[in-house]
Amino acid sequence: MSDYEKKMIELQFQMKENQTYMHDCFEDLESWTKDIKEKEKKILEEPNSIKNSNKGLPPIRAIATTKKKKKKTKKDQVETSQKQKKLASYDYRAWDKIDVDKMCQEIDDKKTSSSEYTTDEEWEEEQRKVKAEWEKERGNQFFKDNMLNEAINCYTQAIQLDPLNAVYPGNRAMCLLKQEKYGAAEADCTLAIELDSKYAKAYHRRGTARFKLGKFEEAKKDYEMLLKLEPNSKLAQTELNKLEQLVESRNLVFPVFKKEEEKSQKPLRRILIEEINDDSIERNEIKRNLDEINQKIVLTDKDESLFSLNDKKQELEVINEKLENVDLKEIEPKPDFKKIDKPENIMKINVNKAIPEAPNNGYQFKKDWQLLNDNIESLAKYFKKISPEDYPKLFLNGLESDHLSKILVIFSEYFLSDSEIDLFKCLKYLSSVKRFQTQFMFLTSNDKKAIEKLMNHIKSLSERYQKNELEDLIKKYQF
Amino acid sequence: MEKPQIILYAQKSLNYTLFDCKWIPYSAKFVVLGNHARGTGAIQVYELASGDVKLVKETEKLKAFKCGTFGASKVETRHLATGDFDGNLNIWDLERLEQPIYSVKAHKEIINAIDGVGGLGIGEGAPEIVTASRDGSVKVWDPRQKDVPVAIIEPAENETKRDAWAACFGHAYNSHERCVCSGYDNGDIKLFDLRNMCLKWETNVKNGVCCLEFDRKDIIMNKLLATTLESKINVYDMRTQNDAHGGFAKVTEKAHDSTVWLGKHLPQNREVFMTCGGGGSMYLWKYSYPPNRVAKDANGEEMGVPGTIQLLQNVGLSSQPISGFDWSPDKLGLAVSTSFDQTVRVIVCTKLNSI
Repeated sequence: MSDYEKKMIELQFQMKENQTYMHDCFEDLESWTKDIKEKEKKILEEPNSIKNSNKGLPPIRAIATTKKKKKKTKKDQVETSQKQKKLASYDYRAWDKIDVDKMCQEIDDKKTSSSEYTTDEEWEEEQRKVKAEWEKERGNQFFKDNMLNEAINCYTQAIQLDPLNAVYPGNRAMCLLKQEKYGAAEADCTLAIELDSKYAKAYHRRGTARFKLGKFEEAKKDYEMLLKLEPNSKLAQTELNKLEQLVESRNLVFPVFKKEEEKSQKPLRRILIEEINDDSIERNEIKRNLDEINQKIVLTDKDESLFSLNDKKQELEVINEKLENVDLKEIEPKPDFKKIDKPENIMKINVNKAIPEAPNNGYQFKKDWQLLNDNIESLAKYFKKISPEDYPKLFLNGLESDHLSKILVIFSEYFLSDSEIDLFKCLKYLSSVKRFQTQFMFLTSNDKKAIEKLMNHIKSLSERYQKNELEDLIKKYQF
Repeated sequence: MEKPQIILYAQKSLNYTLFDCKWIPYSAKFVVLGNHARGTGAIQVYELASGDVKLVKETEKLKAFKCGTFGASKVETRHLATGDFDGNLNIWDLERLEQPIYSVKAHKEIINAIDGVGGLGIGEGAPEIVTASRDGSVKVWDPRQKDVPVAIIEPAENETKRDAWAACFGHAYNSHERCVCSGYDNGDIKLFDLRNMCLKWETNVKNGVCCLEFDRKDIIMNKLLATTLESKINVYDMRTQNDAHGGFAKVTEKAHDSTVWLGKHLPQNREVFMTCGGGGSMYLWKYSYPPNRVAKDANGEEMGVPGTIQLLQNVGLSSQPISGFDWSPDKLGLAVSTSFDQTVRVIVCTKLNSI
């Protein structure tokens, strides 16, 4: 082949390559176009709130030249006003006419217009304060995201920009507390308090820091200070309580450590230990039973094959068979203080429970009732303390049915025999409680018996009370 | 075939003068700015669609538009900031083009160049826009502040005003630092530090500066590209400043045989940039760093060492100057350009990933 032909072939080849290359290129572009269109759709579907947030941006940059212009205008103003108002010292009449308050007001107004500054420094300071605030916002964001080191850096910068603001060291102390650097936190809180002696949060944080450092007395002082500043704060009160509790609990008996020489030289005696408690004996019995069970339910190889996913039924049957072969020894249940199955035992144990004072409101009553709920006698004693006139107030939202039953029991068992109590009054005020009538309809037969008993007793005392009152009461308790 | 190729993908002939074009971030759409023969401004949004561009939206406004940028807008919102022939700076929401969301009479004369920073997820800090105008001043705006610019860079009272032809942001690597670089018609290039509000560096390249661009806005200043009249391209190494030796080291190239109107860095690779000339030609360049970017001068102080630029490919697509050029931030090698022959072209540069 001549050179010419070779070149032709090469050229053709190159052209084909070019074409395929171009083709690939364009196809690639096509697919990219599709992809980017989808991406764009997604972005445009974002809610508007995200689009229009300008938060998190640094403050607007300082204006260099216009600042100076403003300075000039301010000076002019001041000069002209001064020219107007300069009064000669001998002009007594003019001095008499001066309205001092008005002048003071004018000066105040000038100061409050924030866009005017007499000096460069004031304006720069304002800028620095704005920057400091922005750093604080950044720090707060980092704190929320739990990036404590970055937050601390932001607060440090804020402090540098505006060293007189107590919030920045206070916030930094919070970060340090979270990082468990209690000493540094305490120092920062102290700084914050120096800048602002009424900064409650700083006291709170310093209290926490001192508490963790073991400086309980000083922590207590901080919490007290906090309570003084915020007397309504529940948080302050709870913290103080916690602290007091901890301080009290530290009054423990500590083991005595004596040196070798000081220790007693007498020989040691062996003392026999008698176990009176039933628990341990029962525990052993339970253990023995468990062992028996375990022995009987011994898995053989054959059984293990049953533990496949398919034959669950068969499994269960095998296990049941094995269980039947085991006979457990009866154990008496442990005395469970929560269950009321053995009244006598429990009575003995609970006789020492203090009976609370008469309640002021329904909530207190409910709480106390629940406390004493297992012991009828103490309930009766408690109820006795309440004066009948208070019944409607206590049961403001109406009686509950189990309350009513218990009360009736108390009345019929204990109050009947008690000559001190004016049963009539009790019954009268009880009937005037809200929703009494509705509850009345849901009484059990036991309750009805109790009511019968009460009614009979009342009738027997008919001499003491007025006839119509008695009749009213009987009517109310009729069914 | 190993060299990158510049291929024309689609082109469309329009009936008005085109001045600028910009890709809408995260999309296959771009916006074209220009002015109709009747003197009104035009904004049109086109979308790529299988080998062609389709008009999606258009609007006509009172004043002709000269330049625009998405630099200061968030990704989701895509607000276009435009400068027009009357000196007005407007920010438009492309979904609602009836009313601008921000409008201010920025300059007394035409805004020649505009740049934005702080948006599009690039860099941190406040969104800001810089405008350069024929009235000689360069102003920095914050869209959150109405009417008053955040900074004004203008000549002193008694000095002559030179047209400001170019402006760009750079050195915005954290939320506090920012630099503005401005180029003038007498060849002055001035670099300002916005944090300290002072002039950092100035120089003169003897020919009017048409376009300025840092290779990346959101890093410590690395390279600055300045394209000028009389076909000169200058690339400055901005890492080492030595005032005894004229500030920053530079490398100069002559190309295009005409005014170099634009120079734009590839978003995906900061060593690659495209320059567009007054004859309608596009040159693709690559910058290579020297073995040592820093050298010691006679006094023992550090000074920068410039690298070299190498022409990768060139193509002549038009006969008229190319007024607008923009690389797509989403697709490597995709670009859109407008020229004074009233056509908008979409081009693809291949093999850029193997440079």
